[in-house]
Amino acid sequence: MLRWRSLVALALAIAVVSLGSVSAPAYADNFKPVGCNRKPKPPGCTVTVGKPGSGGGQNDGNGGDSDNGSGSDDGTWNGCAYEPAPGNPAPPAGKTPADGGWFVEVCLIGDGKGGPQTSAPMWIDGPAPTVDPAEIAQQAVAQLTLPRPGIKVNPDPPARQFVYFPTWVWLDGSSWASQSATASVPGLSVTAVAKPTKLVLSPGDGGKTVRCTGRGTAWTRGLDPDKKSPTCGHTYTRPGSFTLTATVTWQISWAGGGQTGTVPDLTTTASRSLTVTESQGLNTTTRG
Amino acid sequence: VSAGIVLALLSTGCTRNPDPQPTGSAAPASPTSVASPDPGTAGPDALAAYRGMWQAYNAALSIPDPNHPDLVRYADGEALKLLTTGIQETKDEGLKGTGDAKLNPEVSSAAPVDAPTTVEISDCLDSTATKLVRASPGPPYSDSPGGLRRTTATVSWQPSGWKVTRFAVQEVGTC
Repeated sequence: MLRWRSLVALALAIAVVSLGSVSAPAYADNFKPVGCNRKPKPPGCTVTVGKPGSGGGQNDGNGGDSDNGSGSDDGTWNGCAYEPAPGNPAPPAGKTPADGGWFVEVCLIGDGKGGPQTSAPMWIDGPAPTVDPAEIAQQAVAQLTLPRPGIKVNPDPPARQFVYFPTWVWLDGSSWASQSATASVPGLSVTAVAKPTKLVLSPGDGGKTVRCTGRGTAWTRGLDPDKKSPTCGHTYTRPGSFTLTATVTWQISWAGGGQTGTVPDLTTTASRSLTVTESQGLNTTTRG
Repeated sequence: VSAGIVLALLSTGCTRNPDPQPTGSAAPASPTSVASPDPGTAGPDALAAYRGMWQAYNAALSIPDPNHPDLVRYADGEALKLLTTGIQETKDEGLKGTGDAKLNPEVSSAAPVDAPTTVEISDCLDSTATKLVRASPGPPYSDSPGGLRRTTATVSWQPSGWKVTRFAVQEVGTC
């Protein structure tokens, strides 16, 4: 009794969320020794994918329903997949290797802590059961954890901004680093990568949005306060309280199983409240 | 079978303390004589274990002492192993921790619903005030600051009380 259609839905998928090619700064705080930056990654940092389709928007073209071992209510997942039987055994009498192949069914039960359960080898006629990489890619994409923009501003709140003096805006490095997540079933592993491509500021004072270059430029002490950020900022021209919003656009691509693809961009957003005041004390000479 | 159930009910009835629990000072993370968790206080007790674990960790890291006795009071399994490994490595590098983190944990889920034995916690841990420094005099180890780290933890009921059994501290800037 082979449940072919279940193959698509069977995801013993373990997705590992990790930083991509851009390495994070080495924060030397107390949590560096026990954080997810450790190699190998601590067990708690590994995310187990829930039941297939939990990532949303997954179209099960086979009308998959309840008979294929969906996840139980507590979030654990009884999942199975087929993989070629080890040792490459010869086909049974009357069959040739072109007719099909030997496979084992591998299942994870419950939380998977008991390890995978492997069935006895079985001969399956026809082409090897396959899992569509695009299906697994959706699992990987669903497991991407995109950081919210860590907005840095100069002058640094609670310090106030002054009218007509440029406000510098940039993002901390960790919110502008490629992120990746991998989902896998036996024999197939798909990695999704999110790359930050665009930072847009909405200054909150009614002014136009600002398209920044990269993640902006960090203010450094000693710069002329009249100088504008070369990459990202805004100059407020009236006093008040404004909500500065930063939106990062992420380009999502995936690769695995000899295929690559893209999915629609994702965005993350964050905001900060800024207080802008008149720059008192600078015009005192006019009164003479 | 029914006799067993009756016995179980009876014994439960005997061990349950009818008096209201004193609030505050008692260490809720390690009750000593209760065989099953109090469903009414699972959330606060799990949060106390979570806070206790980080307090114990920061204390242990400041010595640094991977065998600090408070670690086993609040952590078990993978969590305990990770803490002791991290502290041992820090010690081996001639470093130690300073400062305390600001915690703001919340219960994100508890299961089973009516009598929780596993509580999931999420936090946006602020490590700004903590820093690894050299344990002996020397040039500064690093001036890189900490920051906000998205943190999740699993707190499980153990025979010895609520213990953090697993946690994940994400990179700085993740919350």
